[in-house]
Amino acid sequence: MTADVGTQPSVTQRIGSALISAARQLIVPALAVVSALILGAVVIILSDPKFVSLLGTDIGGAFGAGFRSVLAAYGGLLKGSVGSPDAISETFLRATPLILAGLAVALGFRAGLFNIGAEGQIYIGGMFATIVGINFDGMPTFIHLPLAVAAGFVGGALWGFIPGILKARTGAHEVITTIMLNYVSYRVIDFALHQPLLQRPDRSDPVSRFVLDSATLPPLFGDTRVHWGLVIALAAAVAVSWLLFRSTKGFEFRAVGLNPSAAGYAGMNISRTIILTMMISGGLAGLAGAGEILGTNHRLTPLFSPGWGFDAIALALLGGSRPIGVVGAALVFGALRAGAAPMQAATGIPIDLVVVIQALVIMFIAAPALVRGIYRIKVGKPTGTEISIKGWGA
Amino acid sequence: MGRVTTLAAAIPRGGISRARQRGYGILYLVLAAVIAFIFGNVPGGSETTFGMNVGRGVAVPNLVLPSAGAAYLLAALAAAAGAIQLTRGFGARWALALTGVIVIFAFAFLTWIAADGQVNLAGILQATLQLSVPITFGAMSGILCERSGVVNIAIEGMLLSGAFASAVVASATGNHWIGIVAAIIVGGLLAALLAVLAIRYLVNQIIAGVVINIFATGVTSFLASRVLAHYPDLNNPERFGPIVLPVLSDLPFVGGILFRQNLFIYACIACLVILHFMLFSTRWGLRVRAVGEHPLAADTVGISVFFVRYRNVIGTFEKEMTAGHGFIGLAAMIFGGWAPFGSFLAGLVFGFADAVQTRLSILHVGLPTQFLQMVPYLVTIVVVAGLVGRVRAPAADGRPYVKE
Amino acid sequence: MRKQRWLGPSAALFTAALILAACQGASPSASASSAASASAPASAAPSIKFLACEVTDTGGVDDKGFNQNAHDGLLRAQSELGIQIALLESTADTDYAPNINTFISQGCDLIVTVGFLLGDATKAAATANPNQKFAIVDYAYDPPIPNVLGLVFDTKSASMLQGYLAAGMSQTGIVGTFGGIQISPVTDFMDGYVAGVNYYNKQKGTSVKVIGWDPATATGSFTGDFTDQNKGRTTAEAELQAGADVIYAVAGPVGQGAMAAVLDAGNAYFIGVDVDQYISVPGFESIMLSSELKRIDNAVFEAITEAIAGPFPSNLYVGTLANDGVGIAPYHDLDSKVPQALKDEITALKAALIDGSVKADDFKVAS
Repeated sequence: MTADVGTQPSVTQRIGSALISAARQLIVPALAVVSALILGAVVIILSDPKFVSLLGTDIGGAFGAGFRSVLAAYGGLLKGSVGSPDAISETFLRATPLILAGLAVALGFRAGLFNIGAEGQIYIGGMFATIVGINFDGMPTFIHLPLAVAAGFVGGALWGFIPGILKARTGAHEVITTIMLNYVSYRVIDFALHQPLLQRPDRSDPVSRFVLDSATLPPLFGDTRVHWGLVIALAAAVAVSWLLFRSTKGFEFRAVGLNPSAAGYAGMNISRTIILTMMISGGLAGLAGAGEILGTNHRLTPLFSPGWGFDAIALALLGGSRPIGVVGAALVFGALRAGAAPMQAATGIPIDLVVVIQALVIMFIAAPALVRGIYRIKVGKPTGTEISIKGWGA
Repeated sequence: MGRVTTLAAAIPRGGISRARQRGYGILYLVLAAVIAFIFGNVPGGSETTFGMNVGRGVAVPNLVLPSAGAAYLLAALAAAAGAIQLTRGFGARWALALTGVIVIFAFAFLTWIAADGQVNLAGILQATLQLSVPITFGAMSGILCERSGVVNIAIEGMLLSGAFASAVVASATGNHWIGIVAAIIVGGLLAALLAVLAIRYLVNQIIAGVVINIFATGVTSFLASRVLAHYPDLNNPERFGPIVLPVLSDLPFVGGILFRQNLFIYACIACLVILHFMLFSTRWGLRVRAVGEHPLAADTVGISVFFVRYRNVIGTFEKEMTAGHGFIGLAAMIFGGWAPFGSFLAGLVFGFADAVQTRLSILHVGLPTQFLQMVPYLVTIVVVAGLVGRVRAPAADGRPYVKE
Repeated sequence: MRKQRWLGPSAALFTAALILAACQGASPSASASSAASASAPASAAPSIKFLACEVTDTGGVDDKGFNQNAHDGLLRAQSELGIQIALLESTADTDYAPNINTFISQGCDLIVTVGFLLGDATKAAATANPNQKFAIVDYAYDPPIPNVLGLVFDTKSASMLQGYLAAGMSQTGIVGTFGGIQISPVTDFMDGYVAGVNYYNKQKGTSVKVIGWDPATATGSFTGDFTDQNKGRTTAEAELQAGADVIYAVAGPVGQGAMAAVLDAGNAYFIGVDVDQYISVPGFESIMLSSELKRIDNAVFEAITEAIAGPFPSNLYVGTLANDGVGIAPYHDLDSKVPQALKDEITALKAALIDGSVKADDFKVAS
């Protein structure tokens, strides 16, 4: 940026500089995605049976076959994620729980807490929402639906409260307690689904009764699969943004995250901040579970989350722990997930490819220096500074 | 800090604070009450039979105890420990007392649960040892990394890809030893990646670890569906059978527990001894610890932080592990105060919880299966949170070191 | 900074090297074991224009369990009938509906959905598309949906034969079982197993005991998943130490851990489930007494044949002992160890179960 010093910058200059700084912020994520796709292509080629079988005899043919596989795979991904209105709906549908879970982890990051327990909080939130959603027949929608959504938040918050209070009171590191609580939550769901409270009467397998219509999140447009959960997720993003950057509480969160001892000297209550952060973080993850149950599945089953809580860690990193960044990252991952099935149907390439690509993306994101090193470019400030996670000692 | 060798030493010298001491005293009394009033509350004349044999060594007669009487005796012991703790205190031996009370409580629990029935004590102990192995290996890996200042939460990912590599390579070559070598190489490569990310690129170490975990999960499951699903022969490695040590395995009671185990258990013990010796009795260990605890101080003495950190992260052990055990291993490392034998002890606690859990489901205790399955995870949480609380991590743990 | 430039690409190289290492490990014997390759070209059979599509549940197609068995049925139809097949794996509940819809829009002639978890999604899709044929494994609709064929299996009766066999072979008078997760497709096996032991006791006046499952209280041993073989091992060891000498593991791949424990114990037997595990899990021939067979592949093949022929004649396929939808695997290496009298009694029990004079449910709880 070499704007003239001394003179007031013109409107075009200001827009220009805003664009440049936006581009600078986007360059690492964009290059990370590109690098991941390139390495993903290498994985596809190397694991292509045709490539392997032709390699000894016909190298040109082998690479031809490999590249055709790559084109087919990425073509399928693209078509399945943005190729039609239904595909776009699917992308937004997949992004919905990812946005909420990503916000949950990002909020923790800001306060120096590593919430790996979003997965368990999603489950417990989903369970709470189900309990409210399948009961209270006859209650009007405008009460029942908000109540069910709120129950999801409460469930997640409760599951976040446990590691929060353990950390605040005993110093037990949240990485371990949240992971253990994930395993506990699977068993809790499994147990609950065998109880008359939840289990469908005509079924002996673990599946809950259907959520009542009055507690169902309606489709956003016509009969698309994407539902009002998306609106909740976007509203949550705005709310978290406000909380973090406009409110005093958010300032405390970030202060505790950056330097707990300084925050303590400044008179902030660190224990309370930790507990509150974990509860809001868990609540957001719980909302993800509630949205999925009330909007998409309409019933609770074991293992209904394919690991959103873990993807969320990647999303928080990818989005630089900024709510707007998390939303953007969730849309990218949502598109990958939405495109995965059509890709498999068309090419037979396993959907796990998407997981490989996701992992590569976050690896490049987590190490801005890596991207710098590969592309030999100067990029904006490293995203690492916004995440203040330390070792066990804290 | 001097030699950190035992659980007790994980806490600053001189025992524990007054408040905490009182807390433990009360805890012991509560446990004594639970033993007396809940575990002792069995029909009169009930007997609990403890099986004392496992394997085919010299047989020992089963231990038959009156259930209620045993409970009262154990309650009295726990109460005595509580009383001493409250009045005199155990001083520096507080951890020993704590361990003792936990053992008493566990034994009383078994007596109660198997009243009028039989539980194979030798079998439980054998399984405890066996189940503690993967946890202890994970903990050792963590210790080595963290002693030199790198937090390694990628243990799970290393285990997963190691298991994958060893299964494939052992099947392809038909030799399980080559499979082990492959697992070590792949684990080492991931460790190298962690080292590069954490030390060269200054990526936050916990984040780098999570990235590696996700990456390992993705790549192994992708290759499993893309390759192994079509070539099942590639996933059929030869098995490691038990190694029955001659003579020793015939010893009564302990023979079956200690000397009729698989290779990894012996390897685990050997690694523990070697790691302990290396860390606490060699120049190398001194440097590692110095670097981990005070990078700047060590720098002035002229040790290359970079070199030691790299070498350590790459030289990790990992073997035979499964979902969640990598993380339980980390918990064991913390519980054990970043010391090899301490973490082995912690591994035994988790192994015991798991072994008992399996037996309970056979005894029809009427608890839902799901709750029994939660036990090892809950024990981990309780241990990390309650019993030890704030342990002292190596001082420079988790902070990338930048040479000025 | 000079070093950094070198290390930048090197990190990427590490990654690539890992993948390469994994692939190279795989490639040499990948070609060597091509006989095991499932995707044999369908050149032998005449090709007909019929597309059969499978949607798996979250276990994925390589689960060594029902998803894979169903896929085997598709593969057999591909090679024997000359049809085309396609596959979609689900990673979450969310995937079921779009996966089914993807196949509907691709013009599949028959969509096979695998597992009770797909019950709701299959019903919704079948009602919305009455001309689209479906077959669903392990699920039956009541009332039936005209364009859906439910494929269910009488695993209880087949397991009863295994229970009888186990009781007859036990020296200690204690036999064990355990499951992966406590769901009815698993506990049905265990119920049948207990019924077989109870029937044996009633016939012989013995008192063989089952540990690991009690149908009356619905409590027993479960490893909690279908992946952790170590848990299978420790669970089997616990039962062996409690005196059991025959183990029936209803836990998919987890059963392999139990086989290892049984083999190491040395004086016990193992009974497999779903497929003949004597063949599918080599290395344990000396302990493999028999296996309960649940022929999902046959059922899927049958469903494809019916779908090619026209509308489904009925909406329910029940795999029974009579139509070989379920069965008992040969004794293989242990054939000489099983007394001829016991073999005859099992054959007789099988006949009695087929003609209905003995019912597994009557013996679930010991009388």
